[in-house]
Amino acid sequence: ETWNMPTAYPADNYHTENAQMFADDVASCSNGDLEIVIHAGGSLFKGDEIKRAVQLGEAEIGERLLSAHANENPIFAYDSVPFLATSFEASDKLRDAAVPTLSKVMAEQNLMLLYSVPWPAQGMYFDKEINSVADMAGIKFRAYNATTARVAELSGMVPTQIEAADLKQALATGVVAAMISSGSTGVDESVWEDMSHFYDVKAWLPRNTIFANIDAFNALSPEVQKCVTESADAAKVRGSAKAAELAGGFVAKLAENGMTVSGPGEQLAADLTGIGDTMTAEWLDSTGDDGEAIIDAYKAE
Amino acid sequence: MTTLPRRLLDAIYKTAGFGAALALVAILVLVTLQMVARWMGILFPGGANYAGYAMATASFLGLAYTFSHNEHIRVGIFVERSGVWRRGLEIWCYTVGSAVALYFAWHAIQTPLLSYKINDISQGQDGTPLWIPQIAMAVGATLLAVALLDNLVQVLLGSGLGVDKPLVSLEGLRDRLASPKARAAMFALALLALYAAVNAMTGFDRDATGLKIGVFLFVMFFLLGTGIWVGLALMGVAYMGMIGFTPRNPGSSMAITVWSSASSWTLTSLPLFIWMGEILYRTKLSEDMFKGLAPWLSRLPGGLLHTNVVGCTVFAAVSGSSAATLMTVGKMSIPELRKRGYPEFMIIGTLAGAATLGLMIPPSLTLIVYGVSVQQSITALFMAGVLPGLVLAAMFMGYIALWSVLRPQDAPEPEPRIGFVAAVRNSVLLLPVIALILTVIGSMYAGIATATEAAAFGVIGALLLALLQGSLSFATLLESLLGATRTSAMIALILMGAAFLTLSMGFTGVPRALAGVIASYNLSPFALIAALTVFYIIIGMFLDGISAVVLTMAIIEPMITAAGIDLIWFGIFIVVVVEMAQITPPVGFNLFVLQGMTKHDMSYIARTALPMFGIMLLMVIILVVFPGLATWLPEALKQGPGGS
Ligand code: NA
Ligand code: NA
Repeated sequence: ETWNMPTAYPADNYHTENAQMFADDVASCSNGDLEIVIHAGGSLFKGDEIKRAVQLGEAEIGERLLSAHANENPIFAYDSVPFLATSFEASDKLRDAAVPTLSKVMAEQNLMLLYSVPWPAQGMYFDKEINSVADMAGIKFRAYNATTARVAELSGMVPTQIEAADLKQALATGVVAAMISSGSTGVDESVWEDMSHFYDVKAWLPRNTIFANIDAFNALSPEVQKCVTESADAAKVRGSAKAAELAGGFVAKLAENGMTVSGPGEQLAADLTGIGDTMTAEWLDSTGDDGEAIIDAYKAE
Repeated sequence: MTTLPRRLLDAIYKTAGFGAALALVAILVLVTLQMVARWMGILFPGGANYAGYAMATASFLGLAYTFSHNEHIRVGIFVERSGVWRRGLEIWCYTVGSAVALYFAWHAIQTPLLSYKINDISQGQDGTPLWIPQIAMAVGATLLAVALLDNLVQVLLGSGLGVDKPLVSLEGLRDRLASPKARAAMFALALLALYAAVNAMTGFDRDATGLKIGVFLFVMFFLLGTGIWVGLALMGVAYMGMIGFTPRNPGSSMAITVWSSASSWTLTSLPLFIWMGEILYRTKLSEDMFKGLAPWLSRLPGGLLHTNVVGCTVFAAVSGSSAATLMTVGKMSIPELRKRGYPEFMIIGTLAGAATLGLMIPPSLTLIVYGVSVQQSITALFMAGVLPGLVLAAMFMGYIALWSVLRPQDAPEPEPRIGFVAAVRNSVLLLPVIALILTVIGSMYAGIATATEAAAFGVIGALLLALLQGSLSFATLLESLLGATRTSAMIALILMGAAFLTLSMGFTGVPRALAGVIASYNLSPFALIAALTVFYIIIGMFLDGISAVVLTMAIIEPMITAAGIDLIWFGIFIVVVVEMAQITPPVGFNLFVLQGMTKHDMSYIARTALPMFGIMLLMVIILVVFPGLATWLPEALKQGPGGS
């Protein structure tokens, strides 16, 4: 049996490398009964096609930034509620709290949740020093989805729609002067060419989620199914550890290239927590009982 | 003799064409609105997505209309030479074409139904249920199938030979398939061949890479060579690869990739730049550009042929694709150069070659895709493209000069020499073009518009120019719009086919296997670059550049890094080889576009472009010997103030 696994990120990205180790584990514990071929960098299906492709069985397994599908069901954005879970430990705790609800919602879409791995936390990039939300007033802020647009709105910035393909040019030419993104994006885009300050506010840790088509999974023998889920559990732990290990490196790289890197000051941190509380409440309003279940489980531990 | 059904069908194609044209206007409006909203600090949520839907609507609704105007491209070498057997070949083409189009239509109809069923919603801020815009896909693909069937019926039962009227009159020649029996036999034969091919495909060894490549090549050459329309032929090849070498049903995968390739935001600049070209073509601008450039360029050996290269170089600085560069400059330069008696061979060849500069001189869609896949700064890549682009342009001009020295007998009468003062005075005529280019470039570099939105500036600027010159009437505006609609739909159909073929290749693993073979040889950097040049030339024969980059980078990038090759430099290398792919048959975008514009045979166009291919090969060598050509400028800019 061969499974095709489309992913959106390049082969040398740690998510893809982790997925490759997962595929190797599956090949070995299934004694070669199940081979997972990874198609990195959107070379099979593009990022925004992957969920639909796996849902419909066009690919048996795939990796996707699930929060991109929040329009379908806001529950998919559980990992992107700003300032709710702001460390790797908290993100893993939130994931564990979300598994039952998320598995149920995904099963309704013919998807089997396998594992998820965080990106480094989202920080804020500016072209000047910022000490409080008041300092942000009127700055053009890159918004690429509803969450980032709302952050801009609540902090008095001007949300500016820029697609990923246009981002570098928009930064270079000052179309946007601020954005929220992980340290790895900053390194990928050489943000120091255009921005001066990075605030490691750890707004949220977006997660890449790996899921299989339920029919394809059910067609496997029980032994191979067990092999897949065990390999997924190992990938989950390994991926989180790797992300934590790399996170410091990205931030250091930003500093190395001349950016002023720091945590949020006292006033800024307090202001952002306020925005976080508002947005958590709004997310709970939109998700109802499902969201309540996740937050309750998260807060209970 | 026009019967009611005939009039009805023609009216339907035309109506759909007008719908597509409206969608093109909608792209302009949406892109402009998004830009203006941003200037005013207002959020226009989902603007890019709406523009993408308009793009898809323009592409799909335009398909049948474009077909009825015979503007979809096919390889005509054998069709044109088939003489008395023409009807037989046309029956084959329309049978295969109808089969592919029906398959496409069936799955295009399934797409919105499926999206509705699984509640697939746009991932952008628009949050649109995707079944709504996908209705355009269902309608457009269905109409395309109707248009093909319509013509199949005509070649089977009537006296016509379909939309592609023979260039050489067949009047007086006996139609070997005049009798109904012969026609029925040919139709049955075509159906039988399809049935046999589909059945033969399913018995292959799925792991035999060599066999896969062989089958891909054979089916591709056969379908393209016999005159199947390129986009449909690519879909046919992709289908064969999927059923032959993967266990899956291709239809639904095809629908997913075709939809997302057709509805992409970054693609919206393509029809806008084409429309801009169509407007400029209908103004006095082409004449003016020639009058302005002529006194200067006519002093060079090779004369006004240099306007092809200079025009493309300048236009490349506003356009991200070679197709748009080719269309705009070609529409202006081909008629003018023909009028002045330059040899067709040189006009077509230098244009085909120089238009590839659209990919190298920033902005460049290929460099963006490359930069994203290998995580290199796009700005650095753009900067890296400038000098090699100018060197390449200079080499094209050198070729023209060399030609004029070697073959003085082919050159037309030199332009009448005018004095320096008069030449300067004539240059005033260049001001509108320069103003337009500065507007488009300036809007990008001043941060007023993104690379995609700059195209909207181009269209509005061209409209203003036409208005000021008094050459804009409602009729010319409509003509330019419909012309742009047809060309966009023509390119869109090929891109749809290429998207499906890319997916099929991905499933079969052919590009990965090929790249893996190269990796297994452990070559030195020089040998590696030589091998990769050959490799990209070969896959460039069959894939468009962006697909080639996307498909192979996952395997090639680690090899490059391991060999210690600079990734910025490699980006420019890959653009040159991808540029070469634009002018190699059987799948070369510039060849298709030029065929559409000039109605020349593709093999003729490929021959005219062969010297350009050689020059680009030389450019690869120059890049290897002088890597600083690509790496110096980005490095120098990095050292500046604000850098580190
Ligand atoms: Na360009
Ligand atoms: Na080619």
